[in-house]
Amino acid sequence: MRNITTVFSTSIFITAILLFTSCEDWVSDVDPLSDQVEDGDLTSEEYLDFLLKGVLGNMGSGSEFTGLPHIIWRVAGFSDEFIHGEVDFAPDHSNFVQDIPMDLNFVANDWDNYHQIRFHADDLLNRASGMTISNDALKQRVHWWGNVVGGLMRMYLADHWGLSQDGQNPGAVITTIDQIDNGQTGSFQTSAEIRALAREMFTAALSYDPGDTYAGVNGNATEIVWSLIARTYLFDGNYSQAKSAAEKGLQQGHDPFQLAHSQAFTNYMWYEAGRNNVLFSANTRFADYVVADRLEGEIISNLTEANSESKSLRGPEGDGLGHKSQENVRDGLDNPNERLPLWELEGDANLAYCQDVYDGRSDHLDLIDWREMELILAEVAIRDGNNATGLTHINNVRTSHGLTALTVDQLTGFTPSATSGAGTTTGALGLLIEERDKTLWMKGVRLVDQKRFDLWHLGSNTWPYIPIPDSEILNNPNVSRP
Amino acid sequence: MKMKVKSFSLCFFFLFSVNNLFAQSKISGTVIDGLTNNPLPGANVFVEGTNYGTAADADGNYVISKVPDGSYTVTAGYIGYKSSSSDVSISGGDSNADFTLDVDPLRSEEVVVTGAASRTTKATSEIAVQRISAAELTEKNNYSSVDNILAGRVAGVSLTKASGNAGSQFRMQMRSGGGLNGDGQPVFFIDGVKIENSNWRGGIASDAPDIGITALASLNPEDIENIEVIKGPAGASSYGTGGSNGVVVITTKRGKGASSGNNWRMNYKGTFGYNDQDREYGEQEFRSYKWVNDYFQPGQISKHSVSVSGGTETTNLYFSLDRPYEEMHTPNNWIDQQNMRANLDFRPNDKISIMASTAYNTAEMQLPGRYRADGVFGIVTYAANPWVMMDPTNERYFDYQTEFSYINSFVGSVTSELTPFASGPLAGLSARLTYGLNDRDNRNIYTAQVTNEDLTGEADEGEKILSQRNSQVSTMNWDVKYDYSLGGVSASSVVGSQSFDERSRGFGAQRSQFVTDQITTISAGAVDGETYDFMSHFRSAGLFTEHSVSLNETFFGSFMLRKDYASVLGGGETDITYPRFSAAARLDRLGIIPAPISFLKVRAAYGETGILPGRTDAIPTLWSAVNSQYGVGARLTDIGNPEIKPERISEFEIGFETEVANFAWDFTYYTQNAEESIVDRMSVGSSGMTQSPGKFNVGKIEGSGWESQLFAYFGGKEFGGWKLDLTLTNSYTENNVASMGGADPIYGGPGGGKQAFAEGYAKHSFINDINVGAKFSDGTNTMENDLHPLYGEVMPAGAYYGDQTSDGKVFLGIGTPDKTGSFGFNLNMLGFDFSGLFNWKSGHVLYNEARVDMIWWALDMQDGDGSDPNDVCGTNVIRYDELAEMLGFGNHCAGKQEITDYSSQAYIDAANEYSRTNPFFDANSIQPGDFIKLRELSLSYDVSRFTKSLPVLSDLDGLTVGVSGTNLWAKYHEDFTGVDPEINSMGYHGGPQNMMQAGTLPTPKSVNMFFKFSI
Repeated sequence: MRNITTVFSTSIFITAILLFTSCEDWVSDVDPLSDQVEDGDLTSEEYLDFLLKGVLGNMGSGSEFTGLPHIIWRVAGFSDEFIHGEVDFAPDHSNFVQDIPMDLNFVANDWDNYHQIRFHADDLLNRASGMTISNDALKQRVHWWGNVVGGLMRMYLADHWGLSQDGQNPGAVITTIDQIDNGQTGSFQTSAEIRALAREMFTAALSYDPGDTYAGVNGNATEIVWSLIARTYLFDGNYSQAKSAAEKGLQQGHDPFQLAHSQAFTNYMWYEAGRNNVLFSANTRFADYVVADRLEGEIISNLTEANSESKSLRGPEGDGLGHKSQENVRDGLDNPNERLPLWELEGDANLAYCQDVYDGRSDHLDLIDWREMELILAEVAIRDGNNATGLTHINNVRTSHGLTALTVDQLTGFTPSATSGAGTTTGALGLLIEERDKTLWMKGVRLVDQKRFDLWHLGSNTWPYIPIPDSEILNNPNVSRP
Repeated sequence: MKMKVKSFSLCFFFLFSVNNLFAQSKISGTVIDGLTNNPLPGANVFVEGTNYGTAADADGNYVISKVPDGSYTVTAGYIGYKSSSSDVSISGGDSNADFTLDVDPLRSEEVVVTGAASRTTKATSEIAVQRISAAELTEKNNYSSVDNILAGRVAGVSLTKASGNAGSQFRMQMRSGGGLNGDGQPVFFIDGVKIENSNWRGGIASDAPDIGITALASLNPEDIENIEVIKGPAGASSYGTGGSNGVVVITTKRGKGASSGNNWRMNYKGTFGYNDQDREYGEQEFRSYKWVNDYFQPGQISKHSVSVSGGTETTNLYFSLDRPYEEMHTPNNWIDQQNMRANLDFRPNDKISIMASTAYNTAEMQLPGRYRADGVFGIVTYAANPWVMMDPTNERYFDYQTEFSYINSFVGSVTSELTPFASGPLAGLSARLTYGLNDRDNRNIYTAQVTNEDLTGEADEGEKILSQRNSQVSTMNWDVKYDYSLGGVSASSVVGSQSFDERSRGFGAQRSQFVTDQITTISAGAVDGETYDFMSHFRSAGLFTEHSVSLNETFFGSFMLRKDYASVLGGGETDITYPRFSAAARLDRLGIIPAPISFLKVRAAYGETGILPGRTDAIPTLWSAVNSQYGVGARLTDIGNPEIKPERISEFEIGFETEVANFAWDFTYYTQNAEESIVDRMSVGSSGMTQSPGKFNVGKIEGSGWESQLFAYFGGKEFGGWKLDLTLTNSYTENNVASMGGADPIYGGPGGGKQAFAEGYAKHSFINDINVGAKFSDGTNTMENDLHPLYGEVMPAGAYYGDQTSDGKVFLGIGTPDKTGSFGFNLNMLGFDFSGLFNWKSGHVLYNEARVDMIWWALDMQDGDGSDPNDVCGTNVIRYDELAEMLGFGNHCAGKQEITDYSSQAYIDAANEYSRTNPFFDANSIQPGDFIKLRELSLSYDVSRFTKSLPVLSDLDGLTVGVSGTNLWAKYHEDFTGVDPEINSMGYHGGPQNMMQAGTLPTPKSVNMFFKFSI
């Protein structure tokens, strides 16, 4: 029998050798990642198109809390364009109104969504600026889209968010990539400051031509950028610059700037606010608009039996042409350019109306179009007292929708109905507001119009913009609520 | 150390040797229970210092043949009894040795696992290990899966199932639950092979329910010999990283050889029974309770288990076939399995032994569908909800969605042991090598048929989701051990290694909008949905050394050190070292303990383990390829932390085991401390880098608790001998998240999160906004409740217009019970065996989403009690309906008048009560989860008492018939309105959410008849 000390020492010695014999090689010899790539491996030109498509996909694909379609949908629900819960009601999502708790996840999730889209665009530009790109077409595409998406998201941040419930602090916070790299966080900036940042990027985009056929651009790249610039100037109250930009923006008849959709990547507005699934239904004033002027749009009824409250002229199930089960139910209607197509169905307590602008899963979503330029020009003219010019622009919009042109008397004598989106504003400005309400439905601008024209639809104890969430305030030392 | 191991479960493996050419005599005798005088069939008798031995027959008789002349010590033992020895001399003739064994309530002679390469008797164990003799339990009851054996039996362990469905995943919270990272699950080993037990069911990300299928569903409970549970780092540190929430070691049955003669044995057990709804539900549980009750139906159970075991001097074999078929308690929901196992032991000589274990399982299951937890059942609970508009009387509804899982699973291992020197200074040297493989294929197919019927509120265009996953775990263990002694000191030193190579691969595809209802293969889907494939490869390894000493078999001490390595991509830290110290003393051997105390051991142990970060958590950012209408592009998906390290968890435990007369007590107190706990911390949203949280080592958790097991036995020789065993198990645990390092509370659960990891609170705490009553208008306030007809309009002074939220979140309870316990009994008398098990949990709460649904749909309620779809106003009116009418929310069949006097106390009371019932305040649906259940009851009778006298049945041994039941009775807290507080749809997750009821199937009541016999 050996001495116990010897035995212990020997075994410990063996153990020590084993411990220092590297197992690291064995555990490190594993299959590499196949479904993800590290940041540092995406730094050459060959990955730029891959990254660009990521920017576009991140922006264009809409699902819960992701993509620009969700943003446009959500802000329509936050403003007075949509009503929540009239038809469908998800118990987990009881409130979309403005008395929401600050730590409710969906506000934080929305905030994250805006910035994730922005981040991808900024990151693309950041990478592109650090490399010499031999493929000029690729370079043009990358810089145009990077600047447009980055500017677009800054514009929406400026339009939709704010810091205090009293409505006095519209604006947002942006933490730039440089700040991230330096361990810093951004500070609060007013809407005007952020719109200026957006215009910087839009202006930069004017130097590039995407030159491609991505759905949504259709050769109008420069006009699209000027249109976006025009909107930012209008919301800043800089009407002369708005007019100048709008004149260079999308021209009559030109295709709108759109988010592309397909059978697989469906239109979120169709999915979550259309006839298919109506978490949000239209504010009933849109049905009132149609009843007041049947040229505005057709109301297709989903009712299965007669209802005296129905506002549809077609009645239950629409006699074949308007049968609810037909996806192309609107084909062949009297006015193919209707402005306010609606879908009538049984609501929780009353009949409800849903948007039918996007009546198919693959309908492209309009972000901005030439009609908005016309209405910007109309507003600037009316504010300058030039009602005739303003009316011309308004009528350009109306007639494009198959509506009758209005007269100057109708313009100046305009008196809003009880449910009009113009509130109590009369005269030319009132008409303009109502025309914007109808024309720019679901384009993410109504929330700002409600602010600009003092049309807030809820009480003083509600937030008139989406609140910057606690997830930002509590974790960003550079931001606090006033 | 050279332990004097007297366990007879192990001795079976070492009973045999080559024939001694000079053996001429035999030793025979009987082995009986000293309490009852009844024979102990199967008792093991062996000759100390030799390989001669055998097992007693049904009458307790034994014969050991061919023993050479000499003086021997013969020892007899039996599970649950203290062994007994007798000196025998053989000199040219046969000898006799009879044994009378005393009950061992502590089962202190059982050999238990105490580390990755160490086993010892419970009498000398320095750590708390609980062993469940599964073989004894399956003799008396039918268990469909391992978790049903474990539930309620292990002190300090709370087992929660994600669903009452067959094969459902389950979660075991061990003691205070370890740290913050990881999935909170123990590591499972079957015959030394690590089992991959991740929560996978298949499907696509957007609709995959949380309820996966446990890999342990593939293990035939009839094959299990015993299950040992090491509950925390103090015991589990030699298992290294991953053992922080304990280790479960499952050992399967093996053949029992003989030194001579033929001891082959065939066992058959047939089980027939049914699953059914545990009880009729009323309006407290569901507004649609009649439909729900109609939905349940009895499901048939049948199970045939055949095993053959035995052996020769050199070879033992255990072979089993098992054919269980089980319909669950809801339509189109069943599991059909085939199990086969072959365990082979081969000992060609005294120096080498080889043990091989192989098991193959194939399972086919029809699951209760996707969407909302347990699919159709989840939706049936909505039946009064016109939003869904389903008609539960339409049978089409129950089969238009189908989901099948097909699982093939293999678990196999080979262990070789070498003891190269029979004598000399290296006689104590031995080496052991184990290689094992767990390979599991799981295919899941979900189909929603094309239908134009309003089965779910809208026509379904059809959908198909195919998913496939293969997982593999290769286990390689080796250790070299040296036992030696010096005077009164016995010692043992071990060096060894464990390594695991884990891979998983899979793919999935989805298509929708089927062009026809005639073809349901995926090719008929018009629109591509999500397609994916994945592959993951992870390796971990640990090197350990353990040194133990024992002084006069009275004082015991050991030291262990383990260094772990793991695959960490991206340059993060790859290794960590864990120590363990432990000691025990048998005070009863010092001669200072009063006589009534026949056994007293005190023990203490300290150990550390850890939880690894994710394999890619150290990589700063990771980008994925995501398809969109613009093509496939790169998207940031994961944000990491190059500085991340494993989470370290330490535990100190102290305890004792004692035996006084007919009573025994096993008690342990422990404290746990998790340092550098891994916390998810999200970047600020304004950065745009919130695709995932980063991981940081900043958390700290403290926990403590105690666990106790009291044993008692009574009996006598009256009535032909009777014996009553009682076991009372109790435990208490608490923990506190001491620090989150400045990170926000981590919330989990749907709808914004109900539970949290938050500083200053226990893990899984419910910390929520609460409703503190109604808000009354001052004449300017607008109606905030959008269910009210005047929503958005200014309300008159004094009128209700909204709900008051608390100023900040309020602690409402913890999602894990602080007190758990069980009471088991077993009465054996007149050939009858009657046993039962109650278990209980208390001190926890859960989120009952079914209550939210029930209250919420109150205002949409038009179909009454659901018995007649045309019935506008039914009888099922709940208080919420009445309050809604009293406040002017319309007519809801409650017959209450609207109160228009806003200043009246009746109006104020109604408004406050309505507000406090508001289902949108999670707090209003957080309920106590306390319960007590009669988990098992069985009665069996040994028919062979009569049949063995019949010539035609004389070969039958142990012919037993019986009836057993599980989940037969339960009593819940009076404020709980759900179906089963032990079922939680988030139950498997390791995150902060673990207690939520939402459309998950409750546990069925099962009743079985069985008969079994041996030949």
